[in-house]
Amino acid sequence: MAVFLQQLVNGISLGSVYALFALGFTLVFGVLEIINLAHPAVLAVGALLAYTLLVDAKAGLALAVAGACAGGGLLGLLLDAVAFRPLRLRGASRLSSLITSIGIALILVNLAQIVWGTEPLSYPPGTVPLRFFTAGPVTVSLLQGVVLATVIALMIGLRLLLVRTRLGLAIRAVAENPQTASLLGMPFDRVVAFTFFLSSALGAVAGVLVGMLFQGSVSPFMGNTYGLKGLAAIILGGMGDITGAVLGGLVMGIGEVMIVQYLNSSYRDAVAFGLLFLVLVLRPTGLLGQQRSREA
Amino acid sequence: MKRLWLLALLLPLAVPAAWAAPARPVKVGLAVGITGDIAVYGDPIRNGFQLAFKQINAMGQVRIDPILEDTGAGRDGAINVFQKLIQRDQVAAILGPVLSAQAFAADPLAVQAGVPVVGVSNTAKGIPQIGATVFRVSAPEAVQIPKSVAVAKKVLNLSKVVVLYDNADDFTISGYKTFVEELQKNGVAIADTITFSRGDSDFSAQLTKAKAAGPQAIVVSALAREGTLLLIQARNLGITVPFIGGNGFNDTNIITRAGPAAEGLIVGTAWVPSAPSAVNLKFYGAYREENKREPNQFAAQAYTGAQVVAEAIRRAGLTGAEDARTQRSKIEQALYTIKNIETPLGRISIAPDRDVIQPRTYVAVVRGGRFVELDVK
Repeated sequence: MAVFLQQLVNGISLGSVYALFALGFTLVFGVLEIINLAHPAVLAVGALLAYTLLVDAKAGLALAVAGACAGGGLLGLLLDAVAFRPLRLRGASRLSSLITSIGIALILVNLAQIVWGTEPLSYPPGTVPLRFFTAGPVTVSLLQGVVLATVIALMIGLRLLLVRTRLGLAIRAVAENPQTASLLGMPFDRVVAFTFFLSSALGAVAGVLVGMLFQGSVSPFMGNTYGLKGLAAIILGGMGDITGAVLGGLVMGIGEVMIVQYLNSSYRDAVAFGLLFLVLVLRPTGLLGQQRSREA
Repeated sequence: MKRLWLLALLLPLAVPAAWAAPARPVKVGLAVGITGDIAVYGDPIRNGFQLAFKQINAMGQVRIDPILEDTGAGRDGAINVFQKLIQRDQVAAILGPVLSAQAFAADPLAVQAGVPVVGVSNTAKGIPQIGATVFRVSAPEAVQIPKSVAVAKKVLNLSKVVVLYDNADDFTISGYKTFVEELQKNGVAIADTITFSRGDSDFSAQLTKAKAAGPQAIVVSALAREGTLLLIQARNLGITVPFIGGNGFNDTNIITRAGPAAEGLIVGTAWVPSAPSAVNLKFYGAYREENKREPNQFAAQAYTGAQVVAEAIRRAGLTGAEDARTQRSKIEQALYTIKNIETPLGRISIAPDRDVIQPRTYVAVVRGGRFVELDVK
């Protein structure tokens, strides 16, 4: 039982990281139906920006997170302007966007290698409060709690933004039908640019949290694992659905951990993707997705 | 008068040496992963090569033109680099690649073209058996691990361990198999075997499972990045038993990054900084001078590999004017004649099966933030 509870904690912790990554991932998909494979690279750049702020600028944690968030957002704007907008103007297919995003990922990862080097980095000791709570045999770190709380807060904030604000209305309108939205006077390109800003800012925050959670994991390649798992999480939860992305992430995380504990660790990825396969066969819209629905 | 006589005696010795100095440098390819997640190994390996060739060219007995190419971390990158070095640059020999998995993928190209390859960091089983031109100076894990296990068993009085390994890499799988064989031979029970994959960041599930099995030590076959994360996360989960690692842990960067979590880590290693030979002192000092940091085992092995290739070129008597095919086959033959040469790794030889014979390897433990030799009392 004790082992089960500890593994549950581990699973929720791992799942909240997947969820965090999937949030930004699913946002762009929900609006543009583009799978932005540069998102893992944005996550890494966010984490590395925070590293520079913490180590070279001696900034505090709050400033580092804010800086990474802003930097990630600006990077998102840049990517949209340089890579995705020209494709949209030319009316290129979604496949071109997908391939372009792979190219951006390669460029970003290689630039990051030039700027930050290839060795895995750690945030300076002390910036991240390493506090542990033990309840009987179960250990929970303060950080795991912080990450989970951040994911839930961001999820609720994002939903509120989409449902309650004019900007959210514009995003949803554009997601529903770009042509009609433009005809009705929605600034289509600005809405899309903002979506990229938001998505990349979320990705950068995810990077910082991953870097805090796993000391010694900050590197240009840190996003690689999350690309595929994040994609699986949003398909599991329902493409384009914010709550679904978080749910999908948590299910993936807990599932993987329990497979390691009770089945065989070699089957970890096989079962995770097997689960995905089952969902696609039995419920192609994902756990929370509805046919033709676009509540973003 | 006496002095003149001495000079006359020495002169004939000096002149042929000067004549024999090659007209054109011999091209040697360096296939190293200096970008990608294996750069933690690739960096010191490149530095070791460059230092060695700088010193060798300065001595003037042979002239070598080292051509450095980045393989990245994957198999495909290694294949591309080998193709370029063999076809376009027409190198006489290749040093590298970094990972055993890359060697299994790329070395066959060199075998086909008759290009001698000297591995400096490939420690998996079966590397020289890839083909007739594949040599190595890195002591295989099959030699190092038995020693580590035997020493660890004595020091820690081991009877029950858990084994963790990376099942996505040829080298870590090979290391895992050797560990299991040796643990069984030494009568140490394996309570559980748990896997993970290269690129993972979260090991809490595996470590929680390992902890629940109640081992006296955790045996790990992993590369440096995953190894470091494992050490840190284990201590955070309250695991206090020592870790016993394979060659992937042979890197002082692990200590820097894992900090106190690295204390007590036991690894088999081909080199320790304190090895007292003159060649090692010269290497150690020059490396620190050049790179502003301490060398590690990989740098020492790379330096050794470069020395071995340079010595083979010298013995082959190459002038640089021969065609690539002649150079390649002469270097290959000369590599077999390398016996008892002084290197930072001690006096090493190349065996007839193209593997290295290194009489002295070490078992080291991390104490006070440094690798020190582990003694059996």
